[in-house]
Amino acid sequence: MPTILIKNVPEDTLKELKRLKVELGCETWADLLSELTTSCETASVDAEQKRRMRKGADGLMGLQSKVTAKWDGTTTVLEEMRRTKRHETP
Amino acid sequence: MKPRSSLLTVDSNIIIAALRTTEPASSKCAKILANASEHFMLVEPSIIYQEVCGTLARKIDLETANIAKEQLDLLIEQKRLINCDKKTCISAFRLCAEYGIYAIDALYLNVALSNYAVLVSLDKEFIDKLNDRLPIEAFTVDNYPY
Repeated sequence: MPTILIKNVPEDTLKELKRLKVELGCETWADLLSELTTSCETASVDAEQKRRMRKGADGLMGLQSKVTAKWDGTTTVLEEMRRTKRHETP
Repeated sequence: MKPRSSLLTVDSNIIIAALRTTEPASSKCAKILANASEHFMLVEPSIIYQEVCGTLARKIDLETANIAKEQLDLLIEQKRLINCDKKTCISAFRLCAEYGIYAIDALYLNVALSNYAVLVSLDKEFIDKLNDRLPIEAFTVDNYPY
């Protein structure tokens, strides 16, 4: 297995790494690096998905005026959705 | 207030109500969708596509339904879209008896329960039937705190 030697690690950073090593249940420094890499990848994917979510929500809101204008009749959304689900409506 | 879960299951009626601004709860529904990404990732049953796009195709037009489909693709990550296959439906139908809820509502509840997600619906009747034994948070639009 490859080995890395890291020089000049600041005292505060080392202290934080030791805390994380215990907190994340890592037996070795290699385990901690692996764990942190996975966490960073997950955070990065989540950030991208959150950006997509916001775009999707904005896109849906862009349909508001058309849906409101073209929705015929007095049927409420809840009544319409219950019909969709074949629920009984009052 | 921090939610107990990082996942949210939104009933299809929230999305449609958000789009029809003359609905009494429309602005609250729109806010739920707009703010969802702050705390949550969505986890949804695949039937949400048929409910949202089918309703829009019938009540508005096919073009609007197609646009909504594209936005749902963005809102819901593929891996968090739960297929309503035989296995899912078999695990959901017992919930109809347990909580006295309708078949499609049980699909939403099943997805929320299976993923320990927060559940929110416009349908108070549905949420009211889920009693305190529920191991997840379930809200109507009016008492949704996030």
